[in-house]
Amino acid sequence: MAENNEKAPLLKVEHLTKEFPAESGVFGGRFAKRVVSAVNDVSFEIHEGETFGLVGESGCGKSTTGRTIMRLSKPTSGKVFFQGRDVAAMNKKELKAMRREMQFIFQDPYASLNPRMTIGEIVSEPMTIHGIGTKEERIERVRELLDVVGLNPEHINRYPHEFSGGQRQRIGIARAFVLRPKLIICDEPVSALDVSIQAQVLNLLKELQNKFGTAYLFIAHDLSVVQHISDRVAVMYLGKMVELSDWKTLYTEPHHPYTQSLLSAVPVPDPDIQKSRKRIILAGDPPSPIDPPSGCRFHTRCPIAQEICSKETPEWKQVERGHYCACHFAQKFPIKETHIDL
Amino acid sequence: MLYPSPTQRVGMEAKADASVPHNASGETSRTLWGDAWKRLRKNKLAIIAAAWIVFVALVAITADLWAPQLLGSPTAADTTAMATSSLLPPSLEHPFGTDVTGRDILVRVIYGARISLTIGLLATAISTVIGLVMGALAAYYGGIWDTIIMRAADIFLAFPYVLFVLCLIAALGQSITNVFIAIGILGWPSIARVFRSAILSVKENDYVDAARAMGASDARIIARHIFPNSVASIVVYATMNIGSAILTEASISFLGMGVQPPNPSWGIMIQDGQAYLMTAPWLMIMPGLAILSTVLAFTLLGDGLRDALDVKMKDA
Repeated sequence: MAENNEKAPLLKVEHLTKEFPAESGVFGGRFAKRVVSAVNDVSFEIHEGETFGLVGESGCGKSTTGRTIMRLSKPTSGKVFFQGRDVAAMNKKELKAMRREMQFIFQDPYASLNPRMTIGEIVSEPMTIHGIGTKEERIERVRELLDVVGLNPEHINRYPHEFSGGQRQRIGIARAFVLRPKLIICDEPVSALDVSIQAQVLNLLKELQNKFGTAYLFIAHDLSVVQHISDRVAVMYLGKMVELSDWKTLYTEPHHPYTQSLLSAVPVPDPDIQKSRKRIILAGDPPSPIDPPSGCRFHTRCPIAQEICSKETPEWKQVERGHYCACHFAQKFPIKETHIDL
Repeated sequence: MLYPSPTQRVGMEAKADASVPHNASGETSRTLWGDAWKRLRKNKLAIIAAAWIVFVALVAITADLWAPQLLGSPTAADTTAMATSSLLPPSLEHPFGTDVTGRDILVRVIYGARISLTIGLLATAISTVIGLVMGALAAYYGGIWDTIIMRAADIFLAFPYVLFVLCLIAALGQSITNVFIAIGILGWPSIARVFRSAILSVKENDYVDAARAMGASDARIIARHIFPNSVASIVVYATMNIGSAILTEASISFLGMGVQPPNPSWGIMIQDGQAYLMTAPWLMIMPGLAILSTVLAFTLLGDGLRDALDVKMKDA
């Protein structure tokens, strides 16, 4: 699916940068000198019907990337094109039209549903906002969609607090799908759920994608979750994208040392392999995004860092067809063993 | 098929599901207030408090129709009564006893309830309206508005409240109207704070972002998401505020700056009774009990409402 490059991409992100003021102060931080560099110069494309995985540690800017694309916050610089139109330059009306085609699934199934609204009201709200159908048609569609996501349509008049976390996430998914959007940004949709429920929700997302041909921007901090669902995967570290490839290549031949260390940390469900395998353990915590390290942002923790790494920012270059990496030594030190069960 | 029209889109998916009527489940659609009432009913203390408030209000409203005939005028000061029935202890004829001028204390407490409840409600209404506007402005527009409004609120709160009310009444001139205007105007800062923080915490929720991501207008986000989720705290706070406004009025009247004799106010009655604390304690005790029970009732009702309006509480 990733190969249909002849068509224009559904979403194109170009040099996206988002900074937040690091101080609040009397003027709400408007004149703060220090900034948190949450997202720095991130570029990628998502094609129709594709699942694009975005992984990284917490605080690496993956959620901010998603929110900025959705224009829940404004980018500091860079451009986001959705269906060829610049999201940042849209006026209210265009933005509303775009939001019919782009939806969001939130991480926290408790905070993302209004406790004062019934399930029916929540799921039909996008239709209400965009003035789609009559009241009866909306109810019909909500019932149908609740059925599709595995909930009892009879529960349409219940409130969110009467459901479990997994069920609530299904409600959030139903809401995201009700307008049949072209793209859904899933911000860690399963990380708040039990592992047993995670698989169910992931399968549901896959099923819905097959049914409706929706593209996903799938944000997660768990490589095994992303592997389960993605066509292509990008890895972020401290606001920068370090590697991007189709998932199979990324999981078998990672080029960036950070990706390699992440992969070596994925648990293997086989005690023998688990014991014998070599793990790459990174020293310390990620540095603060206020004053990020110079040069390559990963050099402070990188096992193969050399002098150049702290001086020059590595270029984002194609190492193989469709495989991008930002590392000075990308091809020179491949670590072969990764143990993801393909 | 790239951009199907809205009707087409619905039509495409409107599969034949007509065999199931919409409310086949038998579940009635429920509203916020309906649910809250259900939960409130289970709270005995709150129901007793509400019943007491309703009782006091009914007695106060209908007082003109029966009280003077039964118990005599609340304000009259005729010399014959003074001579024959001054400072009588509670009896069948005068259940709460009589005061120094021979007036029945029960009828004065009943008429005092009129003043207290009116002041409680009107002053709270004034505070709430000002507080809501200020709190909403501060939370909504944030930045410089937030700073100005909240610092102003801090300054208001820095003054001793009763003293501030006294000063304002002195400036406005002494009258019942000015008493509740003063109490009402000076009550806004705490309500503004409560409402501001309620809005701010609701604004942080993902469902507000979700609504924005759907393309909802600001008006819709406020009306459907922020207001319903922050109004509960205001209802609760306003209810309790009625109690404290009644208390403030009593203090002001006790200090002689509020309602003026011969009008009966609970505060004035306590002040009148002060001199007879040892010889005729009912002069103070009866209006004191009236204040205690009414203020307590508003507080308990507020507590009950807070629990009832919290959707996360199980109906059990």
